[in-house]
Amino acid sequence: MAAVALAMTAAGTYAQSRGARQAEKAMSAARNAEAARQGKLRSEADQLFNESLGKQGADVQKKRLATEVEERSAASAAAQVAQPIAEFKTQGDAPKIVKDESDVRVAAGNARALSDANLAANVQGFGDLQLGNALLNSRYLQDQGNLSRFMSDSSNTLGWELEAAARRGDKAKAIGAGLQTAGSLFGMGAAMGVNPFASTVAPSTLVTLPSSRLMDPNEYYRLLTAGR
Amino acid sequence: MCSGGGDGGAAQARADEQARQARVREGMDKINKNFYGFDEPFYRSRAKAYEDFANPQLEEQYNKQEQNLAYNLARSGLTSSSEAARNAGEIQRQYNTGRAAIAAEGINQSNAARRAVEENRADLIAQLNATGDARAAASGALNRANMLQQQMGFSPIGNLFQATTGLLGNAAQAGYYDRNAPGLGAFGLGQPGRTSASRVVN
Repeated sequence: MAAVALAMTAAGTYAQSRGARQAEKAMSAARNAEAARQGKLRSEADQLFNESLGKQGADVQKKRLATEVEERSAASAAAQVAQPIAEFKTQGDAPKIVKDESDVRVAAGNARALSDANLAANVQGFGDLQLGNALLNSRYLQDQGNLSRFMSDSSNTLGWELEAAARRGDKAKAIGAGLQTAGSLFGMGAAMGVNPFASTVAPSTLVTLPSSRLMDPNEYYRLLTAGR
Repeated sequence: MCSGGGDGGAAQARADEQARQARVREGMDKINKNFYGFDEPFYRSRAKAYEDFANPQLEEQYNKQEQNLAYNLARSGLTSSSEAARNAGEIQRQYNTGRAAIAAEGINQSNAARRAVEENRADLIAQLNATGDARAAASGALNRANMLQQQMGFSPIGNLFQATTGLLGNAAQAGYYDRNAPGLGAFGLGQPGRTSASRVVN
């Protein structure tokens, strides 16, 4: 009787332990899988950030500013006309000194217009650079936002998986608990000299115990003997 | 039990989440593909469209200014003079400054197009994230891309020539006092017997 109780208790303990291990293993697997997913997404996010940073450091920005200003200046220069455009009808008969003066004035007008355009390009080029940065950042933020949402949503799903994993060993744990309870009962019975296999106890002396209570052996004995 | 098969639906939730991620990535690819046409040549074409629109207006303004200047120089007996040369230089400067300003505004217009395209793209991505519907995002991207390909309106350039010299100032106003100008006659009003079709011939 005592040996049976001991075996049942041991088996129950083993079953419960196995159930706990199953649950722990499943939870660990879920956590590891999520860590791998988060790591992959984080790696993508880091790569994007580094890419963004690489395009917006001071050195790169200065080069890009120079390019933007140059593009503006080139567009303005290409649009301008070097040849004199104002050819007054009677100027063909003008003295050479007047024609020379006109050429000088036209050249000066061209130079001034070009200079003004270049100065404007220098100012406006910075605006172009900032627009380029804003568009670049907007795209990077969109991509980072997506990754961030992926990470968050994935993390939220982990909660469900951990709940499910925690229930993974429930069957083994229930069997273990049953065996342990039975083992305890058998153990108490053995301590009191009761041998159910020998049928020495009259059915009328059997007491139905509430399953939720862990019985003290003394109380168990008191209940058994109370009816006598 | 839930559709997860005894796991409280966890497996289904994970599958749904992964499918959603895949749809968002797919939708992003489709948006990018549909917006692929908005490249540098497209934006340069926007700048050129503006220049094509504005330069004829500048030419028209210049021609009027030149005619009036020539008229004012002749009236003042200064056609072959250093004053004429000075005005030629000034009108050349203003013309080229106008050309440069139009080229710069062309770039501004191309920048405005970039902003408009990016705003549309951002809207579509927000829509994709809200719905996770790659097909709707792709369809929206195509529609928006087609709309953006249409020409946007440009405003008239305004007067680019200024009265920086006395003669140019007179030239700018010369048309006001031109007795051949139609005046109210252009609207069928004004002096009796004078219409926009009638001209005093000198």
